[in-house]
Order: sequence, then C-alpha cells, then structure tokens
Amino acid sequence: MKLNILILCTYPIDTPRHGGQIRVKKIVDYYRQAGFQVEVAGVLGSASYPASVGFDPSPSINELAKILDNPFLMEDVAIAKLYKANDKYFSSLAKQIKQVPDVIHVEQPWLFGFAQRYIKEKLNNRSKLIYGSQNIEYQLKASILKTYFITDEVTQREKQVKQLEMHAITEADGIVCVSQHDLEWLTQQTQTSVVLAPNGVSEWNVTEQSIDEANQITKHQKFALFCASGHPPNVKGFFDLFGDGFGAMNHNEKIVIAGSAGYAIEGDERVHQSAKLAARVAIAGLVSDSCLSGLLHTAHCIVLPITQGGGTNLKTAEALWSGKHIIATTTAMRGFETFIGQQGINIADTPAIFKQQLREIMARPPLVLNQPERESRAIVLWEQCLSPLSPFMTKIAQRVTQ
Amino acid sequence: MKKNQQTIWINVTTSANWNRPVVGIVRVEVELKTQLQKLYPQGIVKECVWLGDKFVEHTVKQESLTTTAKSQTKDSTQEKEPSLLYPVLPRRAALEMIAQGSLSIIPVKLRPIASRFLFISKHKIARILVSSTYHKARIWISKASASIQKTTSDSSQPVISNKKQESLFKAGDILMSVGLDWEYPYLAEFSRLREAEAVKIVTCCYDLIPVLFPQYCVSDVATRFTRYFIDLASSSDLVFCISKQSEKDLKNLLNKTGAAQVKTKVFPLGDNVPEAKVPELSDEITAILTEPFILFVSTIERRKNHQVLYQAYHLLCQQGKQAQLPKLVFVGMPGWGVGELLKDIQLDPLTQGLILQCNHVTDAELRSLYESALCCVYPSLYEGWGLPVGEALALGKIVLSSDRGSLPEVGGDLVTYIDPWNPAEWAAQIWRVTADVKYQKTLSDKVKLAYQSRSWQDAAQSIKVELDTLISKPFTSQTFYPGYDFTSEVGQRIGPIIQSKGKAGFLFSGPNTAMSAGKYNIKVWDQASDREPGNCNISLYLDSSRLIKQKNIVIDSNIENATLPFAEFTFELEEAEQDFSIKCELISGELTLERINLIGL
Repeated sequence: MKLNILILCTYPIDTPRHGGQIRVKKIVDYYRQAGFQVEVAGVLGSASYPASVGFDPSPSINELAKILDNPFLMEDVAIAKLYKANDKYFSSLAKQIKQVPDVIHVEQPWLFGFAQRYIKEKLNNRSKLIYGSQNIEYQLKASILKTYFITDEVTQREKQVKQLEMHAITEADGIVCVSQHDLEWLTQQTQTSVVLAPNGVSEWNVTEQSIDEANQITKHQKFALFCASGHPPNVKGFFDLFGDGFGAMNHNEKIVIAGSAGYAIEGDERVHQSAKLAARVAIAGLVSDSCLSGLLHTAHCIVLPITQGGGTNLKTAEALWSGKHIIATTTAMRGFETFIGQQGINIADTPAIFKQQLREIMARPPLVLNQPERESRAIVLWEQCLSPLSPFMTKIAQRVTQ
Repeated sequence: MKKNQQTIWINVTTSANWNRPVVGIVRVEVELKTQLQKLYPQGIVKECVWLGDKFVEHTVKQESLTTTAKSQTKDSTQEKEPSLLYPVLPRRAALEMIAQGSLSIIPVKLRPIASRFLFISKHKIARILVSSTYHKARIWISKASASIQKTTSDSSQPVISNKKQESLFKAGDILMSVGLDWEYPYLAEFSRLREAEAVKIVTCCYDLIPVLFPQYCVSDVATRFTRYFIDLASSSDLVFCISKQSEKDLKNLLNKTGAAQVKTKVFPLGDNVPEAKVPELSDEITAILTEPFILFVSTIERRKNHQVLYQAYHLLCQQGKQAQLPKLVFVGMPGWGVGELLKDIQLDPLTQGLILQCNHVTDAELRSLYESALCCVYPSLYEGWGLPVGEALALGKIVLSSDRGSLPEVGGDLVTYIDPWNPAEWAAQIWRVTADVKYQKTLSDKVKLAYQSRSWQDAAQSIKVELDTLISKPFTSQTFYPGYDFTSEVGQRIGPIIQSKGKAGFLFSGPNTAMSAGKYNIKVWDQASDREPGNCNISLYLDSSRLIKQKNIVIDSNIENATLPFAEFTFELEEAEQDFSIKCELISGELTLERINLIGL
C-alpha cells in the first residue's frame, strides 16, 4: 500500500546531529524503503539550525515572548501555541506542505496542535495522526527547568508541557514510542494503539583515514569515549557522575568528549571544580562521521553517564554496536535492558561506583566479543528497531481509508 | 655493597630547604632518615633532593647531619628577614590564584569566554613551563641564587653532587618521600620514575584536613588537595599513613573519586621529646615554670580550637575561680584566622593575665614546659595524628583531649576525652584536674604506668619492615599494548594494536623501560587472522643499541598456531638496565601486533 506520509518536526534533518534529528532521519529513510511517499516539514526550533526546505524559520524571540512571558527553555511550547493559534504562522507552515498526506506523523508534541488544525481545515479530516513520542516530555522538561527556575515556576511550565503532551497522547490515532518503560506509561494514559520502535544505530565503516582522524584527537592514548549533544541532561549527567573529584584515570588516559556536549563541558566551570577532571578531558567536539567511527573503533570503553530523561539514548545503541566495554547508568540503558548483565556491559548509578568502574575497566584488556555475542547486538541496528513501523502505519492507514 | 643491591633513597627536599626549628613533618622526615640510616648497612640509604627538574643526590657534611642540633639554638638570622606582604604559594597554586583573580574581576558576561580561554591556555602555559627556555631560565636563576647563598651560608649548607648525567635511580630502587610533598612539583616525576624507570615509590599521608575541613585552611584548598591525593595514590607503590583515621580518610577519598587503590600502611610516629644536652631557658620560660600551668602545644589556628579553652577559662572566671586557676600556656606560632580570638584574650578583663603565649620555643624549653605542666590539653577539631598528645603522655602528663579524628588512637584510654564544641565540659574537667589533687594523682599514675612511648627508632623499624617487603618483591608480569606503548614507522596504531600497511620497515619499537636484574620471558602476541605470509626480524635491545637477542620469524598464515604467541624469548639481565626495548622489522607480509607480555621468572 503506497501511503503519503507527512512528518512534522522542529528541526531539520538534512545533516542530523542530535538524537532527535537522527531518529527522524532514520524514520524517513525507513518509511521510504518501505515504499511510502514521505514529505518532511516543520518549524526550526532554534535560530542555530540552518535553513531547510519545508521548514519555517525560527520565530523571533519577540514573537515567542508574545505567547509566553519568558520563553527561555520553553521555545518549543511557545512554537506549539503560535502555530496552532496564530493564522499567519499557521498559513505559513501550511504552505510548506506540498503533498496531501494519508498520515501525519508528528515527532514530539510541539506541532500536534498545528497538525490537528491542518487536518481539519485543509484536509477535511481525511488524514490520521501519529504521535512520535521520544520521551515523557513533561518530566524531562521539569528536570531541565529545575536548574534554572524556582519550584513554582517549574511547576507552572511543566504543567503547560504536560497539557500539550497529554493532548497528543489522547488525541492521536496511533503512538510510536522508544522504550518499554515509555510504552507501559503511555498505555496507562490512553486507549490508542502504541508501538515500540526503539532508537538504533547505523553500521559504520572504519577506514585508515578515520583511524588517523581519531588518532589526531587521542594522541594514541587509551581513552574512554563520551558521545553526546549539548542537550542539558547530557551535561548534567556528566557532572553528576564525574564531579567532586575525578581520580578514575591514569595520567596517560583520557575521556574524549565527542559532540557538542564537549563545548558545553569545556566552558562549564564545574570541569575545573572537580579535581583532575579538566586534566583528563579531551574535547573532540563536533566531528565528522568518519572521525566518529575512528573514535568508536579505537576507544577502550564508552561511558554513558546519563542521569535523567526518559526515552532511549541513541548513543547507547551506538555503544552497544561498537563492541567496546560500556559503563552506563540504568537510565542510559533504558530501552536496552536486555543487554544488562551481558559481557562488557557495566552498570553504575552513583558517582563513586561509576568512577571506580571506569578505573577498573580502563585497566582491563580490550573487550573481544565472540560471534554469537556480536550477533545478539544486531537488534540495535535501525532496520531492526524500526521494523514494527511499517505494519503499524499500514494498519493506521487502513483505518484512514475505511 | 653488592652489585645489584637496591638503594633506598630518602627525599630530603623539605628538610634541606627548611631554616626554622624542626617540627611536625620536617621532624618526621629528619628522624626517619636518621633512624633508617642507622638500621640499614652503610650505603643502602641515600638522600636526594629535587633540584630544578630532577632528583639529585644530596650529601651533607657530617657535623650538620642532624638538623636537630640546629634546632636547639634559635635562628637569630630568621627574625631579621623582612616579612613578605603575602605568604608565598606553590607555583601551581599561584597560577590558580591568578586565574581565579582574573575571572573574579572581569565582567560577569565575559566570564564564560574568559574561563574557556583560561582552559585552553592552561595547556599552553604548562608547555611553556616545561619548555627548554623556561628550564634554562630556572637553571640560571637557580645557579645565581646558589652563588648568592654560597657567599652568605655557613659550613652546614648541603653540598649537591650531580656528576652523573643519567638517572640517579636504577630499576628496583626505592624512593621514599615523607616531606611537604604538596609544596613541590615532583609528583609527576614520581609517576614517571615508577613507570619508566621501575623505581618503587613510597610516600606518606599525614591527614586530609584540607579536603575534609577546607574551612579551617587559608583558602579553598579542597580541590587542590583532592588533586594531590589522587596523584599521590597513582604515583605510589605504598603510602604510609600516620594513623588509622588518616588511612580511613584517604581510602574514603580514593573510593569517592575512583582513584587508584594504593597499598597503605599505618606507622606510629615517634613521640619522644628531644632532650637538650645543655638546657638553656629564656627568661620568659623560666618565669612560666615558677607557677602551675596548663600546657597547649600547637600552632594557634582555628582548627586547633584555642577558642574553647579561652571560653572555658572565661566561664571558670565567671564562677569566681580566677585566683585558683593555673595559667594556660599556648606554645606555638599564631596562624591565620585567630586575630579576633587573640584580641579577645588580650582585652578580656576576666581572664587577664591567665592566658599566655610563647613561640620560638627550643626543644629544651619545650621539654621543660612539658615536664613542669600540671596537665596538657588538646581541644583540636580534627587531627591526622596529634603528636603533642603522645609527647605529653610520654612524659607522664595528664591529657585532656578532644575526641575527634585520630586523637583517640594516640591516647587510648589514658586520656580524658571532651567534646571540642563544649566549653562548659572543658571548664569542668580543667577545674577538676586543678582542684582535685587525688583525681590528679590517679590520672597521672595511670599514664605513667601504662603509656608505651613510641620512639623514632620504633617508627623507622616498622617502616623498614615494609621497605624490606617492597624491595624483595619480585617483578611478576606486565602487559604492553603496542598501540599505546610503542611507536611504529610502517604500521598504523589502532587503539591498543599496531597493524602493518603493506610496507617493509620497523613495524614496532618500545617500550623503552627500565628493568631490574633477573630472568625474563617475553611473549609477542599478534592477531593470527590478519597474517599475510612473509617474515620479520624481532630483536631485543638495551639502550636501543646493545642487541641481546634476535630472531627471524616466518609469518605463517596457518591459523592453527593462533593459540601460540607469535614470538617468544627468554633472557637474563645481570644488572638493572635503564632502557629495554623490543623491535620488529617487517621484511614482507602483513602482521597485526596485539600485545606483549613480559614475565619475571
């Protein structure tokens, strides 16, 4: 069945960097491979995103401030309200959409209100709506806001996010989620069909050049790799677990931080307040895919110091597929619980244990997985993770045509 | 001395640079060095100091070997030295202060940028500090300073001998350092010596007060000292701790930070108060000795809690006991953060004349004060040991002490313990000891009967046991990962491995490490599945040029042999060597080197 699918999101996916972008890109690729016609549109949720076909530019802060008194860290909520209620903005995004969709897949709840209005006004209610959940958004938002706002302000903002999220959950014709934990929570909130399609990873090629690029950063030292975007929970997790003194590495070992988390950590005074931490950190920052594959290939271990957030971590899938030693929090293993207890997977949830494990693992020989162990990890590849989506979309689409 | 006899080097940098009376850590360094030199045959225990960027042998003329003698007379020149506006900081701390100051005075908006700039510059500054230009400047300054000192110094100045260009140490030697090591930049050198020169490093942990109670220190030193202890653990084979409490505190910190789990051993500090041959007492001390007094030996600083004693005395005076109270004598230099307390003591009409301070006390005077004291007090808020408690008990004195930190370890059940935050309790106990003669006698008899004094010889003996164990510990095994530890001319280093790339030439060379005398087996492991038929030469070298073994090995792609090492050698070194290496010249074929096991036989 050839379906027209419209995907709405708040970031471009031409050159995906962060987890959300990568997930949407992979879903688009998957839908296309499954024979669906896919169009992507949306609003750039931040001025830092480059322009992209199908996307409205990021609304100015003045515009957002008309919606919310203080839109700081609440830009997505302001965008949600703006594009649902403001005719000018609604029309602008509506004009970006070229195809007539059978199904609209809204990734995260921000453009769900827009999609509902679009279906009603432009499609004469002839399309169904999928909500792509990446997290329990209101909980994640609250944990981020707590760093910046007093309790009352957090509660008030959290309530707004929850309202949007619960609306999407209860009004959608189907929900795609990323972890068993989220699935269980979602099924308690709604009667709507929910399908689990965890975050995954793509196989990567390692070349001589990618190794050379990695060696430029690591200087041939033994290192633990932390790959993460500058998303505040990633930075918070790093300092939660590596703060208050860091003795877990010898003088000839490093933690290499790849991704924009590196810049956030480098510029954060906490890196200097934790004794020895700054001396052990090497900032790779945003690196090419080639360099990243070199880093993944030459790392001794991969750390996943994630202490908050729902959903699943794309980087966990990447770490699992790398076949390296892993030290992760229980939170970071969400969605990948089946791997806990397997060879090379080490769980640590307190700073002391995490640091002790890191020291111990850095002293171990490199991890070598046997063939069955290697094969058991193939379930983290995107094609396997997203495989439930095709029958799910077809089922929803059939409902559409009935 | 036998050809392969290991040397025990004592780092005496702290005492060699010390011009004041020998107390505290300086005394520990001096006493242990002196006693260990007596315990070991001549020539085994040698002294070294940190000079510029390396350790050099330190020899001192015999008459000045014991700085104890120097400490028995007041250093009159010291009092003439002009005082500095601010206390001098170690270089690292000074740089941190400059950075901290810079961040503090620039506008808030620019701080993140400045912080990032400082973070980036940090490594550049570090490079400058280790650059040859900087070293040349330091050596020049050092020479100029030495020549100035030479013209003004007396005959007891240390003589530095640095004839050898090569390392002072040989593989298997011990370097023991128990001084003010956080004040010097040689911790990184300990690490290098341990890894590259196979020197066994022994250090000491006195206490973790700067980490646990930074509020009692001059500035926020918690991060600096956390860093220090992390480095100490990773660069030591053994850390002596002066109390179970310090050992526990150190282990807690190492656990919390994930630092190396270094072996620790508690050793007792000596508590014998030196006896002067000719006890000369100043008029001030003579006057104190004429009346009953309570003694508190300690630098005057907030952590030592002189405050509670002052409050106790104030309470007793309020109760009308002023006339019967003995004097309270503080022996020690005033330090940081006690200005208001000293002002209170000076102005308080109730305690007027009852609380006295004296400093620059000689060993002879100190002993006289201990011997004549009615009792000794030690209300410290935290200690890593508490030497004055031991010294007082060794001289049979009644001791009233705080119950915090290591103090109960020193005095056991011979001391009356009091909550250091409770002035009323201190007042009550002081009054009881003062007024109740029978009680006084009971406590005093108990101490005299039961206290086992610890001599510095005992301390050194317990250290010797550990050093002997360490020195006789044979080398067992070490695994090298060539990608990290070796270099390659024609291969690619991929994490831990080195992989050939179809070119002939030196595939790997390393690890250029020092080795003790002995018999060894070395196994070279490769990834058999990566082999392409060909051959190579594998050679073992000393000093990169003295060939000791060589084999031409056929690279056999038949992976039936995969469970065997690619190459194996057994060899013996008659004496310790500074530079051992293994090299592989690939002639043809392909090879991926995985690891090298070095095993002591």
